Amino acid sequence: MELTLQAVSKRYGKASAVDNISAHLYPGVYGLLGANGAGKTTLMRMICGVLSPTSGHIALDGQPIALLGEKYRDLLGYLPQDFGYYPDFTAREFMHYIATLKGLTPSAAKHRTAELLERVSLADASRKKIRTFSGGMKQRLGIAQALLNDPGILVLDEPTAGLDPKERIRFRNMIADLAKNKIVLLSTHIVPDVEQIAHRILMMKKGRILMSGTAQHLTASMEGHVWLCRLPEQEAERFSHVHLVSSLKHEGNEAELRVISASPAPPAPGAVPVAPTLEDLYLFHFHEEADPLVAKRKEEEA
Amino acid sequence: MNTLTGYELRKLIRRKSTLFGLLGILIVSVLCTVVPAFHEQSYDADGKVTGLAAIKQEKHYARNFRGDLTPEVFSGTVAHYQQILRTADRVTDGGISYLGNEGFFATYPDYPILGLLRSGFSPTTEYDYFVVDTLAPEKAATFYEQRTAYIEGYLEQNPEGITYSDADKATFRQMNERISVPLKFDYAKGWYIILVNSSIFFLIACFVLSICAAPVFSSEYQSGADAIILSTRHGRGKLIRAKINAALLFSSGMFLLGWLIVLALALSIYGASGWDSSFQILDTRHLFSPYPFTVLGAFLLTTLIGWLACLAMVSFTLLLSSRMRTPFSVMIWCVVLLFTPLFIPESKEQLFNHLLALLPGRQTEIFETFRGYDLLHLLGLSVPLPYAIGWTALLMTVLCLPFAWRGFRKHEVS
Repeated sequence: MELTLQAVSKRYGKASAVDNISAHLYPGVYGLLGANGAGKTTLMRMICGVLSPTSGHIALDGQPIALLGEKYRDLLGYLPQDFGYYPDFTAREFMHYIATLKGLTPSAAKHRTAELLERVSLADASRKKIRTFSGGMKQRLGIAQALLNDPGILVLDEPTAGLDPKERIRFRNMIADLAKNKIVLLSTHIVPDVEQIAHRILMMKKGRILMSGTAQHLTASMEGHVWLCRLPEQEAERFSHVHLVSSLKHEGNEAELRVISASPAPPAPGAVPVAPTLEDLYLFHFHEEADPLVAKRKEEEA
Repeated sequence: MNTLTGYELRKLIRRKSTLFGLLGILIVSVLCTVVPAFHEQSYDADGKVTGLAAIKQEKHYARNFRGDLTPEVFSGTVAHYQQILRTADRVTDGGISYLGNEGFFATYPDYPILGLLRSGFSPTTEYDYFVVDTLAPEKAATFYEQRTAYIEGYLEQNPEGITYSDADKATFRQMNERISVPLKFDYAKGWYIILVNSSIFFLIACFVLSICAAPVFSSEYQSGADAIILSTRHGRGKLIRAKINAALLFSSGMFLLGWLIVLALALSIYGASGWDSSFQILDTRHLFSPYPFTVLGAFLLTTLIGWLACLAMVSFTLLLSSRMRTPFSVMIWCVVLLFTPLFIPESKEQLFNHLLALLPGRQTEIFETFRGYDLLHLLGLSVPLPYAIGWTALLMTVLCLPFAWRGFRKHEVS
């Protein structure tokens, strides 16, 4: 199975949400990383066929998905960001409804519903109306519905949003189990989630794929740019205004800082290089979008 | 009914708007049937009776004329009336001499037939209450000939300035010839109450059903469920069919339920008698109606066209719902479309008036169109206005649904 994105773009007026993206996706887990507005959701919607590209095309095994229609959708499992639900439906009714939409027979729908609600720990709440569910419960229900048809292509937009740490770990394990012979594409802001389960990471910025590869491959590009240094507390504060600090830990009168530097030179005397993580990479590329004040401050300092 | 349609029906039924809609229809049903019963009035030898007693009294009087209204019935009634007139006391008011109370009470039982005679023998442009005072019984026996002459006069020299073509006149003559003579009479107030209130019931039903159908597609966009359902196997096919089927089934069910409540309440209060009477005896205003059906026939045709008008409105709502982001905006447009035609005044142009009658909102006024001599000329066909309304509603439904289908199928999540 090969999902091909060929020069896919989506424009709204003059603004490009997705700009000329090309990629080949094979069975495995793909993590989409990017700040808000990077175009992840738009790209996922186009892959799911609920939004048409302005230009370019998406094909499955060489066949445009628009032409495959029902056959393509039959392979699809999709959890949108902020998905809609029917507050007056019980979890079981909702699952049966989606199962019917996915073309499952009534007996298969019943069986899969019971199995998946059990898997996402909602079996006890299966007869409760969705309106009574917490955010985490709704998210788990969303994950369960995406899996109803045992999809060959699973698209999950922010699947871990609203899940507590225990649920996140369980979700990661579930995806790792499911990933065999499936294309799983997931986006998240929680970098460790992607780092641990994605076979390949696609980093998006301003509608384009900035870089892609395995977590090791991507973090290797940051070798020599991440430093650990200890500074007096007062100096640490001034230092953090000038440099990109990914973590700061106070120990007595001193502070330990993890510094990401564009320059290969140590950012401070005594700074030691450390192994970069995906979070360092993310922060390096998106710190200005995450905190607009940083960019402004840098401009002022320049 | 397939599983998906069942789920879509469940979504519609569980909405709060459905509960309020049902309540609204119930209130209108009661207002249309129970309230008029309290205002009913009749007269016996002791004077005025009201409410249920009046209905009982009217039924009693009508029983004397039940069956065929033969020429003898008309001549006999006039003779009896004039006999009382000759002996009864009279009172004068404003220079006009009326029967005194005693005489009025004595002639009141003959009123259903006297009313028909007054309409039949009055000049074309006016209603002469006193025409029966001097009408010879032999002349009264020519009631049906007089009715035909009246219609001829109306067609040839129309008081409203309408000019009928020869073909139109021939059509109306043929329609009138199909009316069974003598007319069949019975107490039919129950059916009259239903038919006379049908316009308001259908209008409210259209409004309520539009409100209920507004979220069918647009609520999926508003809630964000569109992303999930449109990415499923049947999301762009069977689901749309299920949504449309559910909306039409739900609308038909609600319409039927409300209309059956009206029927049950009216007939339990007034009785079901008169269903096989001629439509022309329902009310003096309908004496010259060219439609050759019984009261039951008029009821069934009114029901059918009213139902089609509601389905047309629901179909239009579905079309808007498939293309608008929120149910509220759909509701606003539906209200505008439904009620605006009611505020457009009729003109002297017949064609304008006929086209106005075909618009939503106006489509609900079917019963009133049964009185008129209105033909709509379209594509070489001459269609009586009530049938044209029915066909228009059906056409609206057939045209709107494919566009609603396409609207949802082509919808893009944003």
